[in-house]
Amino acid sequence: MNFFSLSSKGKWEDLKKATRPRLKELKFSFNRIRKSPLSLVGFSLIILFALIALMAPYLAPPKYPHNPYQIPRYGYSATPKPPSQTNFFGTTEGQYDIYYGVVWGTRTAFRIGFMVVGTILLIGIILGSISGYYGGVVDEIIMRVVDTFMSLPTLILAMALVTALGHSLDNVMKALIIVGWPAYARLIRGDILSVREEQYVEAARAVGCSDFFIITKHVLPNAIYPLLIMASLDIGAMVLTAAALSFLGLGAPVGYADWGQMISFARNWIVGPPGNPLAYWYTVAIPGLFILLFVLGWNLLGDAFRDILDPKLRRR
Amino acid sequence: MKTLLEVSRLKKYYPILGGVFKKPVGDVRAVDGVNLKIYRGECLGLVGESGCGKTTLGKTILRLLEPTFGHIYFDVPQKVKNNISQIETSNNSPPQQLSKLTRKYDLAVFKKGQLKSIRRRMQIVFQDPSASLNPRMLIKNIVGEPLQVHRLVGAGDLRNKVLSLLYRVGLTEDHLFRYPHEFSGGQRQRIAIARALATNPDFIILDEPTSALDVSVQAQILNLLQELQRDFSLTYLFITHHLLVVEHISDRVAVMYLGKIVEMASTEELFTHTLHPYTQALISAIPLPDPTAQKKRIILKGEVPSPINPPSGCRFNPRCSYADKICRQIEPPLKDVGGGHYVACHKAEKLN
Amino acid sequence: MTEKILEIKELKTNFYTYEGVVKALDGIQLEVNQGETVGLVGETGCGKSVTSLSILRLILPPGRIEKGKIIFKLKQQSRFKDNYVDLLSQSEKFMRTIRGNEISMIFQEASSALNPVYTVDEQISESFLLHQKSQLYQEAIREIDQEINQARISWKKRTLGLEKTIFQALLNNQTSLPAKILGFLPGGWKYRGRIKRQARKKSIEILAQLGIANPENIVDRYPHELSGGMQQRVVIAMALACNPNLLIADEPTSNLDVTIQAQILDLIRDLKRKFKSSVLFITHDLGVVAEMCDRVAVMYAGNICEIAEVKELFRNPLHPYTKALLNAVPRGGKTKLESIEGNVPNLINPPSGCRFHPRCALALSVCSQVNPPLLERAKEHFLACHYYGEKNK
Repeated sequence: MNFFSLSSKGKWEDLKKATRPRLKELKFSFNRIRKSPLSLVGFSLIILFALIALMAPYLAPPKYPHNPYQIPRYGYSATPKPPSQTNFFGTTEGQYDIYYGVVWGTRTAFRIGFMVVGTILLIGIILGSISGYYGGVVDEIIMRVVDTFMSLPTLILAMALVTALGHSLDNVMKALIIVGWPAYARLIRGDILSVREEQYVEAARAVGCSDFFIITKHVLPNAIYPLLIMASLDIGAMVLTAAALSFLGLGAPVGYADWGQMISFARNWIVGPPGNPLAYWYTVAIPGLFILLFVLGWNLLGDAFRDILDPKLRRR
Repeated sequence: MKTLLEVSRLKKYYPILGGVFKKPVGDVRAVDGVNLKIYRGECLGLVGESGCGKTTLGKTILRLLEPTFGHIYFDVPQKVKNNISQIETSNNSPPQQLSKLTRKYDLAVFKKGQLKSIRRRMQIVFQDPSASLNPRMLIKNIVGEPLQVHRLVGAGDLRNKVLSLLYRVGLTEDHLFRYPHEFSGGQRQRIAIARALATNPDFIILDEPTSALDVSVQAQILNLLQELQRDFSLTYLFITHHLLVVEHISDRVAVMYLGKIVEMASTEELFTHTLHPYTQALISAIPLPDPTAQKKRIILKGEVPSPINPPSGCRFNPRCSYADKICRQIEPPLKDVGGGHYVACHKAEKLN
Repeated sequence: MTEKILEIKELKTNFYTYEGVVKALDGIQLEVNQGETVGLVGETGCGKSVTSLSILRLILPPGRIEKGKIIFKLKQQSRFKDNYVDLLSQSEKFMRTIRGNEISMIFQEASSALNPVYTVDEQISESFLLHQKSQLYQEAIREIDQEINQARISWKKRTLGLEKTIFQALLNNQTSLPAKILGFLPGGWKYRGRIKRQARKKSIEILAQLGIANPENIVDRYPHELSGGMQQRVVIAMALACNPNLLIADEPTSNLDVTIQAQILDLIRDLKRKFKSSVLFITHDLGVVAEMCDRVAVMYAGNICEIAEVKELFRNPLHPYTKALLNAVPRGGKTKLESIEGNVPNLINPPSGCRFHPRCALALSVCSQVNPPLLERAKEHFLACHYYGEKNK
């Protein structure tokens, strides 16, 4: 809870002792990952993407330093150009550089994933905890709101919201947050309902702990893991939905580095001229591949997390 | 002897909700009008079969469950208790006067702040130590939690205080930074006992503390509990279904059947002059660890009836071989038959 | 000399876990004679249940039976010499004919041993349908004969006659293809119905033998509609359905109240007399052992440390662990309980030599080096302890 409050004498020793059991757990987790090659693939993919996102200014130096997310154009012709010396992955419709787009788009993808899922997680945990721990009328109200949201199709609701709020990437994220939180609130509520009945929670009440203390110290740490697994799976899914909205023209402004928009540019060039149907393959295949690998990476990582965190699969 | 805890006419009903609008259609009468006195420094054993309401009674006393009706007095002068019952029985006194008194003295209606301060003095040890310790907390934090919640020690002293508690229950410094799953059942129960001792309470409810443990470990824990009782002058309510354990550890024993206390006496008196037919059957059913023992076993017919529709009259009458008309009609009161031996049976005098 | 029904020799079972190899059973020796109740006593994690699961070969991965012999006497005629068979060398298919038929098991938790979606009848009938097909066919044929006698209309007689020939064919060759197909055909319903009716009759019969009032009523209930004691009775009925040679009772009364426990123990005692089965009674409750068993084996950390007749064991325990265990039981009265210091060892790194030596007050230097063999120290009193040997040299 707080090893910083210990007497200074044995502080360092205690800190070492306190970390040892945690290290043991960590070692066990890594062992689990090592044994499943698919989780390794997931990890490497996500690390690769993270590196691309971090190194973006070096991999693709921005042409407009004040607005690095604006994809540079190499002319104004509509017809895409194939990969060349200047454009590694070629250019897409309107001569936007595909390479620059996918590299800086990685940053956008991470931003969408983390922002959306992080916010959803926060809202879900707060509302779900209140709902699950207190029950009664509060629970009834929150759950009926959740029902209302979940009765509408996700993508359509998101589209409607973006249309109402105005086309921009921020509004896409807002819409995804509004659409996404109910599932999280419901999931954690269920887990809290079962953890609430555990005897150590009752023991904590007998000790005299306050409700807030019980929720944060006893209930949440034992109920949150399924939610974290779902969140890691959802980062990929949210990026996919955002890409879908961008593809439909509801997302980022024209020329903004975003994978969904890259695919949207390729809309007219999926099939090439007669006799050479694959002439413009790079316009759709390259951003598509990035989205595919990103989502795949998070899904594999989510599975790995489930292996590590699921108490049913753990020894003990 | 001074009374530490008095429970008077305590009831705990669980409503059964039915229909679309969740209207109460009946009650599970888990605890149905229990009167109990626990004297300072004694160990009262509470025995009964599963579903008789003994655990519910324990938890209701601690207000982990909300009582439906009744009073719980913890360390309240006799004068005040008399006063309250006087006001209750007289019809013409104003209700404000009563509520003013109960709010101050009756644990059954305490508010959150009062409860927190009283829980410093009353603690509980649960049956299954693997379930009652948070699996994601280190031992130091589990044992230190009550100290922090009640702000009993300064931040610097926490470690030493926790350590002294661990030593007291037979654990060492090595155990301070471990998770509960790294311990054996007996050690976990020691940790739970250390946690209960942390606030230096007067009264501890032991809810089947040894039922999940092996015989040799059970002996360790029972010995430890007796030592602690002596050293800290603790008062115990020892809830169990195991009669031999109760005989070993308790000064007095109360036997519960279907939400009511049917017999209560000092341990020796209860085991030698058993009066209630249910207690007799219970005692005769214990398998004794002695293959040569000659036993006359009373085997009870049937099962414990449902506490939703308890039998009319004496609740034990459908299974009792002595039952007659009066037992089926009138519920016997728990009355003193001499020497602090209470029994709720119409036939008690005859059986004696 | 009564004949042996089960003989376990040098049984070793390991569990391969992440932390290491758990040596759950370390060379168990045990015998069960015909008509005898042998108690297997020990604390949690000493390997009592692993022993029972090993006998039935129900150890699941990561567990594995490493070596040893489990010699069992079959009740039915078989190709084996004197009907003795080593269960560990047999195929899984053969084991399926053993489980529930020759050896059956009563589990600790009746509520989870019963499948909540089937009625009592369906669960008890299952073992009849699996192991006693021929008897069911015979009964069915007898029933058809009666119906033929009663039938007035000639075509009905004829269809019944046809049915009878089918059953006779099935009786002669149970594993024939037509028998298997018949069960799945729509017309087979009638045939299955008749068989099921027979099984149901037998289920009611066995419940009645267990002393359950109006078994016809109980048979159609679902497990959750029964009380704990009644559920345990149903589990016992399932175990006894095929009149097994050996009944393994794994803590059958641990979850029951004393008054119900008394009922169930009485029942098991009666049934043992009636069915003449041998019982391997696994428990941690020394009181139950004293009441139920003829002989007792005491287990500690995967080893058997003492075997003796029950009276002998309680009067004259020789192993320090047994002594300590007996002194730790509350027997009524206020005498201080003696406890065994320390904890049950971790079976991944068990103590060398005698596994009890770190907690033993009498330990000699040899105890930490050599695992003591199980030797007959007095008449019918087996002991695995160096100290006793040294003392009585």
